[in-house]
Amino acid sequence: MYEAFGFRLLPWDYGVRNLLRRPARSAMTLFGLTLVVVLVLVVVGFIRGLEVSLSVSGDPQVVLIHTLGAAENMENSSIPSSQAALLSASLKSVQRQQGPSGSKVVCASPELFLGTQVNIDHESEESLGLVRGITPATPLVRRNVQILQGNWPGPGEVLVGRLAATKLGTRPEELAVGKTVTFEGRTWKISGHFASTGSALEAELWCPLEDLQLAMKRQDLSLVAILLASGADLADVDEFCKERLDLELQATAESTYYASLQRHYGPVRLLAWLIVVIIAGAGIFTGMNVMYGAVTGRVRELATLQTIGFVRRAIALSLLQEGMLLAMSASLLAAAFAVIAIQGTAVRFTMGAFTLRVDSTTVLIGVGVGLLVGVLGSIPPAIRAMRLPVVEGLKAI
Amino acid sequence: MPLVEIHGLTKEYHKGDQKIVPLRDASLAIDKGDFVSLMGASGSGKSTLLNLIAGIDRPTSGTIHVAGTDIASLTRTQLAHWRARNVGYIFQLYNLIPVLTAYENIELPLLLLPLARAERQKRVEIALAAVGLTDRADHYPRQLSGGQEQRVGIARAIVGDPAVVVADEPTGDLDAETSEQILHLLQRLNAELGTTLLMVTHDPKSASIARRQLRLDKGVLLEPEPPKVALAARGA
Amino acid sequence: MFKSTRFALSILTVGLLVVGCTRNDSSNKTDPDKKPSNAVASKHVLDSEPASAKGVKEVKQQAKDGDEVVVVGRIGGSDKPFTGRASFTIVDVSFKPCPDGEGCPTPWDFCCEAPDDLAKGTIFVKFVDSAGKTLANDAKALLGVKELSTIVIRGQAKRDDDKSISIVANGVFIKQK
Repeated sequence: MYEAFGFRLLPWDYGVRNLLRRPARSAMTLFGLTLVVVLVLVVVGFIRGLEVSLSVSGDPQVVLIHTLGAAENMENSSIPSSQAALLSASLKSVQRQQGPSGSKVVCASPELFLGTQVNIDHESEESLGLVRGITPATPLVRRNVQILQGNWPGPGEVLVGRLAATKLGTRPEELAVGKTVTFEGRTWKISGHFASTGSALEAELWCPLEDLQLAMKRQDLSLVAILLASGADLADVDEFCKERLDLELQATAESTYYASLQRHYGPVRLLAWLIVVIIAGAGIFTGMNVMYGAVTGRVRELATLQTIGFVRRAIALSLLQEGMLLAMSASLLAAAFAVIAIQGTAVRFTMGAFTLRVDSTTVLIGVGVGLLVGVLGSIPPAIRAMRLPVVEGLKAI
Repeated sequence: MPLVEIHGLTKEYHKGDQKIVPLRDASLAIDKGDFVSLMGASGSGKSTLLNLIAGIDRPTSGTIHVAGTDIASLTRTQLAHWRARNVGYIFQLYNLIPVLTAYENIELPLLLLPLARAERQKRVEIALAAVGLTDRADHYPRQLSGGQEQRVGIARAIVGDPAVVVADEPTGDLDAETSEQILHLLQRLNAELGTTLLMVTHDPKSASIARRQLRLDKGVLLEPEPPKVALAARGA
Repeated sequence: MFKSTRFALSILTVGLLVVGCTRNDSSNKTDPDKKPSNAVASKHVLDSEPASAKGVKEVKQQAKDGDEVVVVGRIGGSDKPFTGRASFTIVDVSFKPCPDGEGCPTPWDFCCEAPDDLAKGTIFVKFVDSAGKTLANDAKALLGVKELSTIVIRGQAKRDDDKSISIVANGVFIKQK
């Protein structure tokens, strides 16, 4: 192993112990680099959380039927309530399940979806919440929804998503079962809480469709979400919509809908990656500063090692090893901190809320950036060390 | 055949517009097992000559043969490998690696040689015994006195059994009593182990312990002993 | 001691293997410029233009359920006029594709036309099998057409009620790819 690089390397201990030579300085650098990697993990966790939230939101078997041209903004979609029955009856590609009384139940969920001001209990400030009017058929289509606590909403009740409190900018206690919220001029009692495998639905408030229509004095729907029958695909529904051009409907796969939302957040993600680069750049300079210090404070020692017979590359590699070791320790500390303290933190954004995701990909990227910081921060000082003339170096104080 | 043969050795460098010639047309031969001291005032070029022989500096002109190798023709990497096998260097300020123990400092040159761990351990223990520091093996340099540090430095220089050991003012930073002990140690190494030694000093008393004493003045070797026989044999 | 240092520096390389999974699913990729050559295609693609073709608007207004019709139109009417099967929408040739620089998603969605007019001038065309089910082949590959192709469709009008009409086609002549 000593000659793994075609020349004899300095002992591993040399690099390790050099870090302990100036404990305060090394500790401060370790802290600084840990902070850098933590920040990177937060930003990458943000990006991953956003991506995953939107990608798990699309059920591949679910198709959304909405007004022509409203594919990217369901709030603008308006279809007459009567069309829900027409769709249920006409669409052969919708899954039908055995009902309790032996009749077939169509897996189609007519929904009214909107962003509206929500007042929490008697708080003076209102927040923009996402409200969905639903029916008992909704869980047949929204198959990933799980009631965590309480019950399905009855008349005048609302079922609250796991991340709704974050979306509304309030504490989860404010949305406890039994409390009330006010929107669209009506007070709604919280009947329970639901989760939906981390999807965007978790930021919403669900209330009975009819009650919502009544409160809003609206007769229409935003969309009808249908669960495709086995063997059916989007083209079946698409054909129906194109054949019935008079209905002015359009079919969009739910996964396509959320993918299009992801595209909306492209600039945000780009900005987030830019922040990662800037933070990493700051980390590189921190590391470089420390490693330059390590070289300038050790000129005579490095010249001595060359005099003994160590080649310059071995010395440069040893410095690189020091930087890497520091960066690796910082990365591991940061990853541990992120997994314990950051994972799952809820974040609010315009179309809902999601949780920061410190998963294996995030950790791999964070640790990768940390090591890159170590390498890039050490290379210039290592090159400088390689260029030091031996005779001059031996004279250094 | 002499162990060290230098002929017409000149070293020049420029400092701004000024040309400095620390060593001018020096010729010298040192036999195996010899103990040579090189005296001269500060700036006389004695350290330059020492560094050239040790292979850490390059001459402007002239030849240097050490243990049969024309070291002036070697590349930087080849020179490093050559130094590892052929040169032991004793520094005025000891130059021990502060994060390594006495044992580890002495073992350092052996890591560059193809030796098994057991063999290295044996050699380090012998070197430690030779300088009388067996009980200080696990001490770090900061835990040693100046004289002890220099003895570790000497052990490090001899542990690889190099062709030549060079010492640059080895007692320059020590008190008189410790200096004497170190010089005595060098004398013993030369006498008992047959180590070829070239020592630079400005102190006539230190120089006097060597078998041969040379003097440099403004880059010129004043008592040169041209290795006529050896050079003739090489056809130079 | 160097007892633990027999191993030298082993560089830790984090191999961030970015595995790009590019599936070359030829069944989903079609080249509209490729001339259809299989038997199914030749059955539907006509060599000569059927006579007396009417415009989409005229056919939508006048045709009754079961009428044999010949209609000329351009493929379009929305950003995705094709369904992925042997069916698509065509618009009346009087409509002009959206010019560049209007900010329209596609030129073939004809979004610069008044929505009501566009609805009146758009019709759904499908090629079906003997059971009346739309052929599973993508029309682009099957017929060698693409968005904005000008085509003449020969087929039968299918009117469900007063509002909904489509054409079950039995032949297509491609006037302009």
